[in-house]
Amino acid sequence: MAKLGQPIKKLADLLEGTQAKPVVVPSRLAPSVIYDVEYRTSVVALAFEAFARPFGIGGQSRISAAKLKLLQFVILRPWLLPAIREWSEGLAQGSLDLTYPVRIRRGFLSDTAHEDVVNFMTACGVFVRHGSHLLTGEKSAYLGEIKRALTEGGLFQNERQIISELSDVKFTNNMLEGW
Amino acid sequence: MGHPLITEYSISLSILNGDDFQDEVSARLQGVIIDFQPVPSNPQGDAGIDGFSHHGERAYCCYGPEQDAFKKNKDREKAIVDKFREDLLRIFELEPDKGTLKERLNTEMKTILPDGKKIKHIELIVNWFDSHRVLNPILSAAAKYAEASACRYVEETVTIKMVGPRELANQYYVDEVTIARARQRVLVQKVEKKAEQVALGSTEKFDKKMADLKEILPGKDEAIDSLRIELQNAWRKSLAFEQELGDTLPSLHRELEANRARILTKVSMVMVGSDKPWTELEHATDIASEVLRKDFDKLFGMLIEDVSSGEIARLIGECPVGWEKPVKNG
Repeated sequence: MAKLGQPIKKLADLLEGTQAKPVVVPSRLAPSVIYDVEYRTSVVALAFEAFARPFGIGGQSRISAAKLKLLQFVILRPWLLPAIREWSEGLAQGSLDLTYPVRIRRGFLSDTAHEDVVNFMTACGVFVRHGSHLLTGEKSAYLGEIKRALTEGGLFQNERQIISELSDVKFTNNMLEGW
Repeated sequence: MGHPLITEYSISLSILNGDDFQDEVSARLQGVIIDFQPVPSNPQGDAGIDGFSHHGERAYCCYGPEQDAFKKNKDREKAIVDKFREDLLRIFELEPDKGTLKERLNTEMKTILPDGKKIKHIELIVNWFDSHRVLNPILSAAAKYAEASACRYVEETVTIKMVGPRELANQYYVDEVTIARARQRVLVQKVEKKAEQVALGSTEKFDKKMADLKEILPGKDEAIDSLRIELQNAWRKSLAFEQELGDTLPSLHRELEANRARILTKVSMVMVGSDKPWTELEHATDIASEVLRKDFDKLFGMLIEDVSSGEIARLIGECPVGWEKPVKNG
């Protein structure tokens, strides 16, 4: 493996003996957007609105919880789209296989932050759990409002672009099974 | 499909290339052959063999071409044939000369093999062996070399065998340690590859810091420009590692996020509390390593050093750590 040099030591050597004033501002440490509950709620809302299907006669919609989890996982990581296509079109993989789709599977299965967001939205009445599916709850109007606000504001363009590309991908049982 | 562990090991061997492949093969053979002796290629060259065993009677040559380096299998076959022919020419102390072969002494070989020993068997180990078409050109060339050579270090009757990932995986046992080591190597290679493609987002503030550094240190522009590239490479590697964790191990991604804050706290404490802050900055990578090892050593031990350096470069690049020009009095 090509080792990096020691840039920090070189930098320290250069600065040593100068009158440069050190600046350390811990508040400038930018947290990853992945743990921003509002961001993730918006992504879940966009994914649900795009992929949920009408269910029953009460005007509700539903989506497989596993599918929603995989969808949002890819929407947050658009570079995975080619691998998702490959996974969708490929044959069943052995669990110990090193192929990329299987490693993504391990990734999305352990995405507990999504579960936290869905639990929060369920507690707020946006969703209702129905077996392996999520159904729209009494406060589901928020989903449409979020989508409308984001679309009208021209926000989340990258995420909306990925959602549109994901509509061509077939999510097989093989991709969603086993959890 | 064979045993899952063997299949996984075989796949990981075929994914590895270059030094990573050679290092893995060497580690594997050292684990299963008691007297396997790797031959370092620096500084005098490896004389055509990457390792030997059985008191010098068995030699091993390794080749791990890049997966994407060839458009067609035919090109890959040619590269493999050319590489191993070249190794064999050196072992047989020959070089091509106007359609014939002439002697070319391999002076390093006598500093490698035990006195009086000759190679009786050579294994050519490659990360791609999906075509039998490499066999005839290599084996026929070896027979020709044996005839033309003085055979000072190799028996005229030497046997040669080609071994690919599947054969190497099946040849000896595969245990959890082997798999864990292979996974680490594959991951390291993936992070390195990913790092080359990572685009750094907003770098205006980082650029400003570098410009300030040039003003603080006039006449050192070249060193600062080179440092800037090194810092950015380290920063990219840190981002690539983060992305890999986010894609495949989100729970560890969260740990990395928490660790970054811990690193910054520790680095700022030692810098702010010292009258020689730049001396302390020199130890920032060690601080980062110490923090990251707790959570990542078992799975990503090979990467910790580079990721630690990358995390500090990232703190500088993304702004929490920096410097300002001294204020001029009057």
